[in-house]
Amino acid sequence: MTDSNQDRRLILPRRESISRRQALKMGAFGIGGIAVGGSILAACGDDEDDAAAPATTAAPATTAAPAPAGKESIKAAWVYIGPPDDNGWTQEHDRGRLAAEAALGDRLTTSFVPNIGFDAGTTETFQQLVDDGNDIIFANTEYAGLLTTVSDAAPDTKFCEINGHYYSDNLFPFYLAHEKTAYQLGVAAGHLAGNGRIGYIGAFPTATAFNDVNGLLLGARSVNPDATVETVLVSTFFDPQKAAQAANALLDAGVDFLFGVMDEPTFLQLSEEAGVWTGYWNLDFRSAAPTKYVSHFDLSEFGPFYTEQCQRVLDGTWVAHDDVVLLDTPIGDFGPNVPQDVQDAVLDAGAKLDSGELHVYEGPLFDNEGNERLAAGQTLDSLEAYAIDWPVDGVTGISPV
Amino acid sequence: MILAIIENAFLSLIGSAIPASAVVMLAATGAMLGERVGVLNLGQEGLIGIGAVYSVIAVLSWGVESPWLAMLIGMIAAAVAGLIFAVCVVAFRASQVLVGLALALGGIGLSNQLGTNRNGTPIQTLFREVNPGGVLDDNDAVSAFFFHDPVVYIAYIGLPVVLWFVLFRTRHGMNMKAVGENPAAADAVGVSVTGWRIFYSVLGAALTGAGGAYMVLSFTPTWSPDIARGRGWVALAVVIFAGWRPGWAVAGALLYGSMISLDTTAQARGWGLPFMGASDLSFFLSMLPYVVTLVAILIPAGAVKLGRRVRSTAAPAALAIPYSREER
Repeated sequence: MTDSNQDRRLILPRRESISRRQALKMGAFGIGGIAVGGSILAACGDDEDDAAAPATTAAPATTAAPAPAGKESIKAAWVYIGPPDDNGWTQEHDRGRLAAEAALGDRLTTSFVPNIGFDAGTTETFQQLVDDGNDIIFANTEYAGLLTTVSDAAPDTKFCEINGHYYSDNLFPFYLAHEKTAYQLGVAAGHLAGNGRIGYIGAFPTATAFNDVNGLLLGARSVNPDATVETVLVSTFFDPQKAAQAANALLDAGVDFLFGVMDEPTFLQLSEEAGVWTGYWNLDFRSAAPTKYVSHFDLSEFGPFYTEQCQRVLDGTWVAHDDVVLLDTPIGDFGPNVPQDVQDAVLDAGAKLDSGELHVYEGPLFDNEGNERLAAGQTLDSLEAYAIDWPVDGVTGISPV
Repeated sequence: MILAIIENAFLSLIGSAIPASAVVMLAATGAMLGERVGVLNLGQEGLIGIGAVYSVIAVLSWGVESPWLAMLIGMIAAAVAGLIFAVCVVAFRASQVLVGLALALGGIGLSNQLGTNRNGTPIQTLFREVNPGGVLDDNDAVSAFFFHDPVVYIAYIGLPVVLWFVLFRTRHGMNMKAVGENPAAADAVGVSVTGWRIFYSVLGAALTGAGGAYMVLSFTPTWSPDIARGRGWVALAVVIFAGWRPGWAVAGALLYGSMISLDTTAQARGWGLPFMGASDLSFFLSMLPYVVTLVAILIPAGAVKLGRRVRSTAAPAALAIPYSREER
């Protein structure tokens, strides 16, 4: 596992696409919360450089050309969008943090800050962590300008931002090659959803959502050519009330398989109650849906990634990647009631995706507004999928950016 | 055909709006109780959080297996917070606005703190829907109004009827209104303004706490930080929309709830607007409940301007004004 780091890492050319930040701007506008919207827009605005100026003056003067020497011990901090006990996304990151701590022992001191949302206070949080002398800081959501304002002004501190779109000498993004996993789950959904209708609870119209719904649809259509994916976007990753309403709306509408990008498992419970097959993004949470659980996206690569980054800071060999680092995201264990032939089909699809025999995105493909996006024979790799901004035909409830 | 689609759409909206805004209904009733006796409690948001988190603690940590008992524990916790609020503003005559805001923010913070380590943990102790004896099956058109759990019926029918009867049909209600409209007069006829105000703010806080408890014991069976997410503020707006009358609060809560449900229902059913893509629509729809709330508040204000039913839609005259016998 340790040797294959290079294989696991895929390189994406820098490319503009819709970011979670832009989506947030839209969301803030939509919600019309003057205070919230104002602060986000102010924090994300184009005058980031001006805002950073006062902070810059102190740091660089004292730090002329640091020698790439190793360190005895380092401090690392994690900034979480949710609580570390959310039974989901943030919990998996925290497991990664603890794995790094266990691997590096006394040489690594870690801390974390939970429940950091998208407002001006976020920037203060990052600044505080820099001031506290952390050597490397990890963010488990894309904070974009709220983070880069600080990272640009603190060249001695290293930053890794998940699903980010900003690159500098001390910051690079990392994420997951999850479109393959979504495809595999889609294969399962194609077998299990009797009426071929798959429900998806999304947060924002970003590449994450597009890869989820596209993977689900294309996987399901490899089994059932009439399969569809119906999307509800709730403009948040962690709001169980909203997730529950979205789940109920989709279940009432009659979907036969329910999946979502929510950071917590409320929708699994509701799916179980409705007797509808369901899967989860973050970890094995079959207890929320004991009989209807299908599988999940396995996020256990965070631990090795965090360990490696901290090790490199210790060794003095840390460099910012020019491109996003995409971690492997295998499909997790199956629930107890998933038939063996479905399990075999899912694993078979996974093997073919890994070997290159099969591609998630293979033309001809049309988006759901009827435009041809991939000509016959054309394919997209994980790197290109990281920047995808359109849903394939057959997906409803979400439109091309 | 068109009519059938509209009817179907309306019923699916109402069917999910009713449970969704039961929390708003309970909180609005609680806020109205306090406001009728002249105590404005802006802390609804915090009280919902406190009611919810103590119900969660009761179920997950104390092993309570009855949703009613869990709700009662949440109500008691909110009542204690309400008592602290009432003592501050009634006995010590502190500013109701400031103490209320402190309760809102403090209650959110306290409940988030207590909820740590319980995030996202599924709650199995739940209110169950009442199936009306096999008379209906849930495909009937009227099923939107049935197949809910008992708290829904208490919130939308039981409480408003009782409150309406007490307020408008009993001497006790006359006295309540007197305390809210003209505490000096009430005092003069021997009604204890301080006592009544404290009692009804505590009772109101308990009802709001029941709303919070309902959220985690039925609607969304899990704890999450900032659980009220604006529902407490909406409840305060619903009281204004309702003109401090219990029956109209039902309409206000359902209006808000329908808009909340419209967000997800419209997306799930593929209802769209011709000039808006599906992604943009999702942002527009999540804005809608608050826009509608804003407009709804303007309705009674407009009614006052037009001179219609001015007396009954105006706030209690002594709302948010501390009463001091020496200063009358």
